[in-house]
Amino acid sequence: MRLQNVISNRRPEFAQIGKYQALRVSHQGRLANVDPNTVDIIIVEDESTLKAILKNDVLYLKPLFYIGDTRKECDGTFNVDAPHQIVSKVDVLTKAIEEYADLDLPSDPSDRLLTKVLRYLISRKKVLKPINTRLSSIGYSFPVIEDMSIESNPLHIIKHLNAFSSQDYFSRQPIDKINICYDCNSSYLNFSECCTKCNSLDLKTEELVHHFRCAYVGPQSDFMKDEKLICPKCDHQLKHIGIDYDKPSEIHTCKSCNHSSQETKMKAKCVDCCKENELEQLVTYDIHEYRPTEKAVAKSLESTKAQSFGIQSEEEHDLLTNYGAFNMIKSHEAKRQSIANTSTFEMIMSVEDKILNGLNEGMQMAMLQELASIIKPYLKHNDLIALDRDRNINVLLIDYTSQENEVIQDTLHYNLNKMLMDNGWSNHEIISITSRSIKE
Amino acid sequence: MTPVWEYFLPDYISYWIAAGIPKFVRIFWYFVIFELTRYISIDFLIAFYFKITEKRRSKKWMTARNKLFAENPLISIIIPGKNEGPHLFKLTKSLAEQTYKHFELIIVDDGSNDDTPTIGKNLERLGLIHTFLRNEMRGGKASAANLALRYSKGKIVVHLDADCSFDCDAIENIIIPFYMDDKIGAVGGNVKVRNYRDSLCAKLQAIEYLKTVSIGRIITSTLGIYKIISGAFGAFRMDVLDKVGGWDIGPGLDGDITVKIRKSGYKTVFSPTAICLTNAPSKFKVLTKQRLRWDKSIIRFRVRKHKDVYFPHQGFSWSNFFALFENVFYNVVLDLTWWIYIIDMVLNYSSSLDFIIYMNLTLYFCVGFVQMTSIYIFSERRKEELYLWRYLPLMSLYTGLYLRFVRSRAYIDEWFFRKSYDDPWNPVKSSSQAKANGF
Repeated sequence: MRLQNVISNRRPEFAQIGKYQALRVSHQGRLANVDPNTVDIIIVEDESTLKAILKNDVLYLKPLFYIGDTRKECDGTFNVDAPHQIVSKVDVLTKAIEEYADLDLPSDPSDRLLTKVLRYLISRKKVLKPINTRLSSIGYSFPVIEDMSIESNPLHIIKHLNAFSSQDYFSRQPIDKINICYDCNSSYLNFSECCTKCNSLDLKTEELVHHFRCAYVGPQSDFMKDEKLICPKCDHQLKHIGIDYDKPSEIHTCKSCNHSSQETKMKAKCVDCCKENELEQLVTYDIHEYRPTEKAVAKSLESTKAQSFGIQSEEEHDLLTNYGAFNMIKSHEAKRQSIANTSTFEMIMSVEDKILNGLNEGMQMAMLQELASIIKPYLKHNDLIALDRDRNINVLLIDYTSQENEVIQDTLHYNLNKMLMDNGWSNHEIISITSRSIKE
Repeated sequence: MTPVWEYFLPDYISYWIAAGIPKFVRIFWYFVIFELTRYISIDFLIAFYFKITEKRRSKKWMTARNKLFAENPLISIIIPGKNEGPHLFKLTKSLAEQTYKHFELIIVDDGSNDDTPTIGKNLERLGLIHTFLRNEMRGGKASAANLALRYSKGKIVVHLDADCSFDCDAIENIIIPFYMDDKIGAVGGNVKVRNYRDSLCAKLQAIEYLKTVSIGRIITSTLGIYKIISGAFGAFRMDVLDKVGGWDIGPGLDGDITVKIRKSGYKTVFSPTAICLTNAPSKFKVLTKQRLRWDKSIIRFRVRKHKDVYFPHQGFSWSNFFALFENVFYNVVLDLTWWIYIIDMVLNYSSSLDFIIYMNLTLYFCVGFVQMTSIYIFSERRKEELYLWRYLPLMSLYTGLYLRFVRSRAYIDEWFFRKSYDDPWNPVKSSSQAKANGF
C-alpha cells in the first residue's frame, strides 16, 4: 500500500508510515469495523469523526492527527507533503499508551469518563484547558472531555470537572469568570444602563453646572441659551470654567418617569432568550484549567473497579431516596406501626413557588439537594428523604414521638427560613412544613 | 479669718440703701432699659396673649391640619451637607416615624471625603433615600441646597441638617402653618439641644437655645418680625423659593434667605411645636468658631447686603424694617453700648465697682430665673428641662461675658476686615466671587 493512498481520497484507507500502520477515516461510520490492534495511527479530516474517535472506548488513546488546522483535541496536524514528520511524536505516544493497553474502563459512566480523560491527558502530558468559542453557550468549551462525554451542556462538564477536582484528581487554576443568564444559562448578554426607578433605557445624561457667583446648581440644559451658558438665577453669562463655574458631577434623568439620579441600574439582557437579568440574578461560574494530579496518575492505571465518581458524592447518593422506594417504605412502615405500636411521621417541606420558579431546573434541583443535605444532620440515621414531582422535600421520621416530631418540625422551620432570609433569598418565610402521622 | 459676708454684706446693703432708686437706675441703666424690657416684660405679655388666644389658635390649627391631610401634598425634604454619612441612617429612621408620610428625601453630598458617598448610595438602593446626589467638587452649602432644590418635586421644601432628629409630628407641625395663611412663605422649626448632658458648654447652649430660639422666636413671630429660619429645620414654599432664587452664598444663608422671603412680600413664622433636636458644640473652642461665623453674618447680611430694608423705597415694609432693626440693634448696637456702659462704670464708679459687679450678677441671676419661668410656661418638655435650672447662675457669665466677647470680635473682624469671605466653611472659588460682587 502506498502512502499516497492515505493522503488522497482514494481507497484503500490503510497505509504505512514508518513502522506504523495508519488509518485514514473519512467518515465516522467506518469506525465500527476497525480492529484497534491493526491500527497505530488515526488520521481524520472532519470534526465529527474526530469527536467520534474520542468517544470511542477502544480508539480514543490512539495517536490522532488532523488534516487541516491544528486542533486541541488531536495530537497534531498531518502534513500530506511530509507524512514522516509525525513519526517521532507517534513513538512517544505509543510508548505512553502502552501502559493502558491491558486496562479496562470502569462500567460506571462517570468513572469511565474520568478514567478516559485522565489516560488521555496523562499520556499526552496535557492540561485540560478551556478554549474560547462562540459556539458554546457559555463562551468556553472544554476540549477532549466534551468529546468523550455524552453531556453536551458545558455547565454539566464544569460540574463534572469540579467534582473530579474535589476528589483531588485535578488541581485547578482559575483563568476567567463568566456570568450567565439565570433562565437559559447563556453567557451572551447585553449590558445596558437603565432608570433605577422604572427600568427604562431612555435616559438623558447631563453634566451639572455650579455657578459660583450665585450658588445656582443645575443641569447644563438649564444654562443653555442661544448656545451660551446663561445662569437662570442671576442671568449672568458663564464664560470661564474654574473661575465662573465648574461641573461638579453629572446626573441621569429618565425620560419615561422623570426620575433623576446619579445612579443607574445595570441590566443584562440575554441575547439567546431575551430575558432581562438584574445583575444580582446572573449566575457566576469560575472557569479553570485542570491539571491531573499524582492521584490522577494512579487512578488512570487502575483497572476496572466498581466505584462511583460523579457530580454526586457517595453521601449525596445516600442522602436522597428514590421517591417510589420512599413511598413503598412508607406503606410498609404504616403497616409496621399498626402492629408494633410505634409512630412514624411524614414531613413535607415546600419552598415557595415564586422562589423556585425564578430558578432554572438545574438550580432548582441544586437548591433542593442543598436543603436536603442541611436537613440530614437533624434526622436519625434511619430517616429517609425524597423529592417528589411537585418539588417538595418528603421526610420519613421513623419511630418518633409526637413531641420529637413537633420539635424537629419547629426547629427546621425556624432554622431553614432564617438561613434563607439571612442569605437574602427573601425577606419573609419561604419554606412551609407540614407533618402527619402515617398510621393506617 | 473673718468670713466675707461679715464685713462685705453690711456695707453692700448699706451702699444700695443709701444709693436710692435714681442712682440705681443711673448705674444699671443698661439693664433697666434693655434687658428688663426685652427679656422680661415682653415674654410675659406674649405668654398672656397666648393664654387668652389659646382656643382660637387651637381651632385655627386644627382646621389647617385637616386641610393639609385632605390635600396630602408631596413634601421635599432636602439635606445638603459634607461628611454627614454617619448621621444618614439614623436620620432616615427618625423621618420614617413621622406622622406625615408623603415626602421625598433628597440628600446632597457636597464633596465629602469620607464614607458618605458609599453610605448615601446604599441607602438610595435600599429605598431609604429617594435621591442621593453628590458633587465631586465641594461647592458650599448654598450650592448643595440649590442642587437639591433643582430636583425637588414637592409643593413644600423642608431643609434639614443631617445630625438632627425630630419629634414624630415635627414635619406635620412645620407645614401646618402654610395652611393657616396664604401669605406665609416660610416656617421655622423649634431647634433644641439634644446633647445637653454632655458638657457644661452644651448645657449653657441648651438654656440659651430655650431663651433665644424657643421663646425668642415665639415672640418675634407673634410680633411679625421673625427673621431667621434655622437651617437645621425650616420649611419653605417651593414657588417662593423659586421666586427668590433659592439660597445665596453663606455663611449665614439661613438668615439671608428668610430676609429675601420677607422682602418678597411673604410672611415668615415660627412653629414652636415642630421640635428638632440637634447636637450643639460640646467644647468652647468649637463653639467660639461657630459663633464667630454666625455673628459675622449679621454684619455681612443684615447690615450690608440687606441695607435697603432700612431706607424708604418702593417695597419698603415696616415689619421688615423692625425685624432687621431689632436684630441689629440687640446684637450690634447693644454690644457696642455694653462697652460704653463698662467704660462709664469704670470712669464714674471705680470706687464702687465691687458692689456694682455683685449687684449686676444678682440682677442677671434673678432675671435668669424669671425668664426660665416663662420658658417653663411655653415648654412641652418641662420635666426634662428642669435639669437645666441648676446651671442658670452661670448664664450671666456665659451670655454676659463670653458671648459678648465673641460677638465683639466677630463684628470687628467683619466690619473692618470682611473676614467672613475667608471662612473655610465656603470654598474659596465661591467666596472670592461673592466678595468680588459684594454679596
